[in-house]
Amino acid sequence: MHLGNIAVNNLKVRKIKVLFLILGIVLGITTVVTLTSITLAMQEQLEDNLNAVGQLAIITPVSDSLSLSYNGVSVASTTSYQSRTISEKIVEKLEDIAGQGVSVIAPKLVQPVEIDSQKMLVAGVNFDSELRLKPYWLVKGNLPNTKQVVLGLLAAERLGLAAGDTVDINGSRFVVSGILAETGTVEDKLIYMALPEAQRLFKRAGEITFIEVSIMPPGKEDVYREQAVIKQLEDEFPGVNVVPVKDQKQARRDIVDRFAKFSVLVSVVVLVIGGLIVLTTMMSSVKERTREIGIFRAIGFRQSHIIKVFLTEALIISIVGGVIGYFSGILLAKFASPFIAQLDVQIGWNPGLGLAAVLTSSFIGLIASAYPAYLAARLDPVEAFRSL
Amino acid sequence: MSLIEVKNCTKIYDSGGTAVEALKEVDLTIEEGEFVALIGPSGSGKSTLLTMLGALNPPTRGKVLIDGIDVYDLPAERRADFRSSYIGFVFQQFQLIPYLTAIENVMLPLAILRYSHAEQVKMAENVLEKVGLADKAKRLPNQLSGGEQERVAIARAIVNQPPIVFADEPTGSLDTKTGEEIMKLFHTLNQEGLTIVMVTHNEENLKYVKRTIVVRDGMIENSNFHGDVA
Repeated sequence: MHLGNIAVNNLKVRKIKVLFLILGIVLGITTVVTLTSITLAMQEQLEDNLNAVGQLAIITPVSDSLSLSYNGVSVASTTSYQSRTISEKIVEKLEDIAGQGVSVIAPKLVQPVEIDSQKMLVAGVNFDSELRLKPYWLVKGNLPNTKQVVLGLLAAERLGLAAGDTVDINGSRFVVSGILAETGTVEDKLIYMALPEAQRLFKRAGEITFIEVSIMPPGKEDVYREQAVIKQLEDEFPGVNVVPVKDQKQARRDIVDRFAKFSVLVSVVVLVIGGLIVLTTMMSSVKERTREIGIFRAIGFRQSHIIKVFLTEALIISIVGGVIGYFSGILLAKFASPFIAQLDVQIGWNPGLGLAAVLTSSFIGLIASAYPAYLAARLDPVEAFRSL
Repeated sequence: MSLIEVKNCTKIYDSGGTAVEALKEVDLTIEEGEFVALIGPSGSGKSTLLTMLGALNPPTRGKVLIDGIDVYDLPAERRADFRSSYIGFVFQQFQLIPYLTAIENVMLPLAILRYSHAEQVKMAENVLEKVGLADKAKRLPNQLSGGEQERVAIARAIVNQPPIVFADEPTGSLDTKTGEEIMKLFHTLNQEGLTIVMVTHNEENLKYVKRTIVVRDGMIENSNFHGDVA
């Protein structure tokens, strides 16, 4: 017989109260584990996607404020519908220095058009370069030949077109050879055709709007080397902007970070609620057990013994709640992640997270029970004795 | 030196802003091996005196010495230790812990002392046998009769062999026959050397005690030593 036996035996007979206490802990820990698991999976998926494309940079003409953009690059003013361009000769020069940092060169001519009274963007691209730069591109159908286009998924939906349909662009008729699977980016809204086709259609021979280049292969990102390559490009081509796509990466990381911060906020609120449930339930438990505490004190229990009994009960409940909360949190994350974050990454069992969940629940349980335990220990034995 | 010495003790309670004098300048000595009954009308101060003797209720003025130790001079936690080693309590209506078995209830005072589990079990079994409940050690309180619960409460009070047991109305919740059996048990324990101080309303119980102390209006009105008892 030791103080732990008293705690365990008491919990066995107060099933409803114990259930309520465990529920309070489980509620908090499930929420924390679910949100943490989804956040970690989102971060993992984001890094996988970002690493797959290596470090990119965009070479653009110097621009002022504009409203139509592609991948963050302004391509035309809404008033003029006239895109600014740079010379295609720059591509040849870039090819000359290929291997000295620049590995993939993907020039584009992007032109605003109006199709069925809808403002759209047409991108003339080099599909070989584009597919090397964006390994995540998946075209359902065929890549376009002459007088053919590929539509981004949202563009296809907006125009109500499918592979095999035709579309009139700038007075010429094109056949839709394929649809680009959803990328989750602005690329979904574009109409793609071969670069020479676009230059002919928009009478812009030898002109391009911007160039996407890979300045670092996937998995070999190095901020010092990246700066050296960008400086080299700026020295070689004065009058153009060389913008690392870091900002875009950062923007995507920011989205995940915002979700992470939101998760922390929600977790804290739910844990505080769980803690309050434990606090109020333990307070009422102290009141109910006045007689019992009086007996303990009368037969020689110290205040510290009473505190130990109450905190042992809280710890047992918290550990059980933490374990249940961990398992239910992971299961909920597995179930909910496809709906919340369209995750492809598998959410698995994470022992580290399990340990953190149990430690957190123990901490919350002990903190929330500290005051009721203190009150129980401070109970005047004579008052308790009177109630006997 | 007397086992218990109460020196000029006064106890004043604050009852809703009014000072109530529960005990008035009480002097009392109890020798080792005595069996004392505190009697008196309700509200006379006998329960206050019992808890004061039991190191639970400090006097407003005066001293309580047990075995020469000024118990209210001890810090609260040391006083708890003192209760643990010197005093056993038998409360009104048994007051067993409902979720512990009979033997676990008896082992309760040992849970805070340095005894191994085996030692605790052995000590608890010995006293349960002494009170005639060896065969009901594993039962919960609600599976025992009133008399049996009282015996468990007595076993709990004596398991760590304290020199003094305080009992508050030990037969108050029992029928006459069972009450008689309990008083005989107390008498036996007293014969073995245990000092017992008991609050009672039942005059039948007085035949077992060596001294009766009448408490009235917070004062000791009378203190009678009996001759041969029981």
